[in-house]
Amino acid sequence: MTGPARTPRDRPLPSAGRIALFVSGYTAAYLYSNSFRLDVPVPFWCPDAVLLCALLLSPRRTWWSYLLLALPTRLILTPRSTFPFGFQLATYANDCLQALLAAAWLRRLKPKGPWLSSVKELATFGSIAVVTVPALSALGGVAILQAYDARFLPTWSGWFLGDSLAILLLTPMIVSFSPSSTVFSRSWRRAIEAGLLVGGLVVSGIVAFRGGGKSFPDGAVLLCVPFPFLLWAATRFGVRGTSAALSLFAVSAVWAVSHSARAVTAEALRANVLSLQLFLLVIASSLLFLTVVLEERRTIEENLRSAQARLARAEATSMVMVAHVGLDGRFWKAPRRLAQLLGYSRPELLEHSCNDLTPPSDLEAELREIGRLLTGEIPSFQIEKRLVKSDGAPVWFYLSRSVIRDSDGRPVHFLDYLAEIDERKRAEAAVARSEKQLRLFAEHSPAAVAMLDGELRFVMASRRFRNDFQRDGSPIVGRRYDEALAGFPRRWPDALRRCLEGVLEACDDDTFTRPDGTIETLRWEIMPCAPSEGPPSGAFVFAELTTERKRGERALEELRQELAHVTRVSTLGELSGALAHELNQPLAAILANAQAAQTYLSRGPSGVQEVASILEDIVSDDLRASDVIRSLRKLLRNEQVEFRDVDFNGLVREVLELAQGDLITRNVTVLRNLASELPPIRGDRVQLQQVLLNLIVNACEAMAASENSDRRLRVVTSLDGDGGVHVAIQDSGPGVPEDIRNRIFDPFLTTKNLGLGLGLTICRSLVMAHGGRLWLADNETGGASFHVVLPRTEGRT
Amino acid sequence: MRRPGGPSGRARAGTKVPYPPAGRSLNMSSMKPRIFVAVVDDEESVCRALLRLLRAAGLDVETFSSSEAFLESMRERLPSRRPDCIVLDLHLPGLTGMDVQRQLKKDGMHLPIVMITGNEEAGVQERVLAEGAFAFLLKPLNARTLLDAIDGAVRGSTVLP
Repeated sequence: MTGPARTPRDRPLPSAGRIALFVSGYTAAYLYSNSFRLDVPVPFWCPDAVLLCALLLSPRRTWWSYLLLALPTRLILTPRSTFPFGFQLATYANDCLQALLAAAWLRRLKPKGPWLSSVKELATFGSIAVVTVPALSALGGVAILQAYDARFLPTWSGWFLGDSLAILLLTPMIVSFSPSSTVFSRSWRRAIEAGLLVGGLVVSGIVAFRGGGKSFPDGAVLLCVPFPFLLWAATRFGVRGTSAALSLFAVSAVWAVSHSARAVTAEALRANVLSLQLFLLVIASSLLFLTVVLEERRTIEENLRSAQARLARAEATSMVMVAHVGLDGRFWKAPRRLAQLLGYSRPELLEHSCNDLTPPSDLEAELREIGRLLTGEIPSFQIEKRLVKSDGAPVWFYLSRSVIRDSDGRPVHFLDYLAEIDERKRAEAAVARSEKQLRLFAEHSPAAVAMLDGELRFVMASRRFRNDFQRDGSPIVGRRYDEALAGFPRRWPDALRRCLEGVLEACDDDTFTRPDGTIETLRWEIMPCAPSEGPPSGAFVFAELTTERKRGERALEELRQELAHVTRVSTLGELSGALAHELNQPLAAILANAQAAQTYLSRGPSGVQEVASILEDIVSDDLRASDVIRSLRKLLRNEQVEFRDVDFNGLVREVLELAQGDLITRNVTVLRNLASELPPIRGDRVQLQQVLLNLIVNACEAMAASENSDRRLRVVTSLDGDGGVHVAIQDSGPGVPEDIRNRIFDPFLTTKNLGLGLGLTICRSLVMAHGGRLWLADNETGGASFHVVLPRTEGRT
Repeated sequence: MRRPGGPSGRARAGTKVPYPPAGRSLNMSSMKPRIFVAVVDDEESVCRALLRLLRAAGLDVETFSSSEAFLESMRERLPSRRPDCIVLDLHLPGLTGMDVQRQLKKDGMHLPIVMITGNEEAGVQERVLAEGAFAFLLKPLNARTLLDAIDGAVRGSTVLP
């Protein structure tokens, strides 16, 4: 028997199919229930059960439609003559109220089915839908039947039992039906079993009630014949099967009783029906209880089985391994993966003690924890430990161990959760090693390096940094820089603050003052210590004290100047003969003029005019002599180097004049080829003169062995390709010998008897100090030429 | 200053020329006929000063600013018009004083030479004197020394056949 229970419950309004299903089910139930004799209580009032099922399985908002549909069905099916309209309305209302109350109550306790999956639910269902609500409804029924002078107790009990029996038998079957449940499709074997059960029930029912009908209740033995089949249904077919079997049994029994030959009088029939109802109630509730208990247990077993299967799967695939370890440390149960990791087969591992596989150094701490665990001081402990593999190599594990106790609280075994952390440990060790190396590297680095955290406290500072910056007697790591340092540049606080915002700051030439007043110069760089993401976590400070270096550089510069001066003086020394000539010429003229003048004057006024012109010449010659001396003094003085714009052609002319005496003495012909327009270059006049003079003197000396007529010095100035000035000093000598060509600029290399051998070395360093170049090349026509290139004013640093 | 007529100072053909005593008058006009002196120096101011000095001393003077101009001039002249003495600068551009000295000798012009120089170099004096110069004088030149040297040179040359 099917009912409206199959109507889908998720639709907003009942569909035509559900309405048809409900109406047909309700009609069938109503017709069956009204097929009994009117003078006895209906043993099996089915419409209420159908209505209850419809309400239970439908959304609340559609309930009204089922309640309304029940009325016309009842009115149409009941001949007006049989029951008055008022009576029909009253019973309809009473039945509706009963179904509504039961459905609402049950749905309130559990909004969705199943309502019979546990003993507790069965009890709830029974007490509400089978006992309380029908009992109340029966009171209503008694009130309605009061008009017919019915007696209270028989009327109430008949009404109550008829309703409750139908609800108990039919509702479980209907509400446990759903489209997804498949009684018959599970397997053919199952279908055959169900068929055999139905057949057995029918046959046993016939056996029981054909004779039993006559002898009931005396023929109770025959009534027992269907029991095995009912038990079969209860144990094998669940609530639905049991409910269906019970319904079939009940229908058969009711049919047998109502058609009993002995129950001819109403009174006898009433008594029989009452007995049957009580009998069926007891049987049905017992069997349903049994079914639910079995179902519940089956469900629990299935859940347990699937949980165990899931657990086993989880254990097999999880990184975490579960092991049971005896109190003596012996493995009771160990996963295969653990055995594989340790290089054993599983049986081999189970022969080992966990303690034997633990290195002695790790064991002590573990045993201490085990002691605390066994005394109950701690519920569990977690450690990182090693287990030794079969080949002797240790493997790192994370172990979480708890103790399993028996019902008396005595420890039985340990439950271990193990995770292999060898990779992590190796990585940690590598990181630690690398960090240690880095610290060592930083510590012994010759550079002053420090690292500060986000609060600008020192995390690390190299030995050099501590030596250079640490305040005496004050620790540095963990302290803020302004507390720990003996002094730092004024720009540091701002630079560090900005560094934490991600800005790199640097300064090549800065100073700070130590507490004792010493001023230190330094160069520094402060850069963000940037993690892979987010704002900088700190700052790196790189600093280098340049005080000593600067002092050294100054001293070196002074030495260089001194050396340049010495070589200049030396060069001039080589020129001294020529310089004497330069001076002697005007002096000779002056002396001759003066003595001539004396003679003229001794002759009286006639010579005065001649004397005037003589004096003019004397002044001119004197000036010329003082010019020579002035330029000599300039070259001889060791003055501060001064870079100014220099007219290079003018410089060349001056030097040639200074060297003129030498050139003449040496019989050297000078050819000047000066560019018409040269840009000014920036340089020190004296140093540049020194370079040219040196090169000219060298050239003259190179030609000393040549024939007089072959001594030609060529001085050429031109514009360099890069916009600078190029000067070439070319001689007609034999050229630079091959063996000293590569060493020509080396110090102390000399081909002369006199001289330090520093001339060209100094020349090159002076030219380089001007940002220029000095090199040697051969002339096409023989002889050597020295080339100097000096950069334009703006090109020089 | 080296004095001509010293141990190595020799007049032409080995004739000794006595050094004139100090304080002697610069006026040499009494010398007959008037002595003609050529001055060769590339330095114009020196030429001019010597011209004045020697003229003031009563000598005929002609100046040349280069050795080439001087030699050219000498070749073109008759021997009678040639100078009695040459005051020759050693350091001349182009042909030096010694070159001129050699050239004159080569050309057969045996003229007495007083070599003057502003730059004393080792061994030069010996070479100059060996080449036949009468005297070797260092600038600046004292008037008396110069005139004495000229005097000596001219006398030495006249003494000789």
